[in-house]
Amino acid sequence: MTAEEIRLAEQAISRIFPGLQTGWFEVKSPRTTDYNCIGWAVDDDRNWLWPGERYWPNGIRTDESVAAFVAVFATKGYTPCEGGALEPNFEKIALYVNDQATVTHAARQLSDGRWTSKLGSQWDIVHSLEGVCGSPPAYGQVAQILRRPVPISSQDAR
Amino acid sequence: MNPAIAQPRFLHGREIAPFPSWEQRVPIVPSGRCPIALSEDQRTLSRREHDLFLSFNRVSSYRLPLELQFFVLAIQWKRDTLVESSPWRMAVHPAYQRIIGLGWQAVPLILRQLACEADFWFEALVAITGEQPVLPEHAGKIEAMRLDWLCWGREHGYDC
Repeated sequence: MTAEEIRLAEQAISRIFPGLQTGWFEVKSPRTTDYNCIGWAVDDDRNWLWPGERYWPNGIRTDESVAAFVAVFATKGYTPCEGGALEPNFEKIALYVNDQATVTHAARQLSDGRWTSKLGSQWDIVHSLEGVCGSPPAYGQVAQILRRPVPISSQDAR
Repeated sequence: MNPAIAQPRFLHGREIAPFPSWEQRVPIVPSGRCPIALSEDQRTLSRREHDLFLSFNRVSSYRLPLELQFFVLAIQWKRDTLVESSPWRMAVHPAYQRIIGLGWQAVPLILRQLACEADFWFEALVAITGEQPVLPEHAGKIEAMRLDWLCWGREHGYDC
């Protein structure tokens, strides 16, 4: 991305997420519809994953509840846990919900404790856990943190 | 009142264009005094402005051409769902629903948009056409879903 593209992306993002108007964040990728926040949370940058026909693995509950998302992340080895603090040898995912308790977004924790998100069909950003919270079109509030042990190969990469 | 600064003007409660520049350059009355009557030129101009306003009023009540209507709705939808991940929430947006409401006449416009860039037009196309050309193995692969629909469009005679 050029400096001008990053500046325009930052402007647009700041307008949408009140928590990022004052807090720090970094734009990390150009816009793409190849994948979304759920795909990005599980390191899949080739699929747009969402409950419902044509966007969700077969055999999993297809609603937008936290329970449905917990179930699908369980297939990837994630289990519910307390808090988004960095824990050695664990990687974490945060689920965000709106006022109707419907999941709106997922973010993945990086090895330095920061969080990375794919914003719909737009950019990847690095941000704080609460940075993308707020009323729509922001993502509401954090409802659930999930974690799984970091695979040995990933620990080496870290 | 400084005649060089255009004051807001209202006609039937709606703001209209300021006085033309010639009047600001050549004040009718000396500075500090209010005009007590309109000149013949001003009266003519006011009548013409009034007619123009009324004609605009009539024009603005016309329905926009289909293509423009589609683009206005598409822009509203894209603006409001910029960071949305749920295809279902995108599809229930009022502007998206109105595009679906345009029916078959919106299909060539949607396919042309889809030919330009991948976006979540799939639900609108399914709703309007009743077809589902996306192969099961392409589920969640937006580019492949886009190509499936463009292929369907060409098979049905659309220029996309």
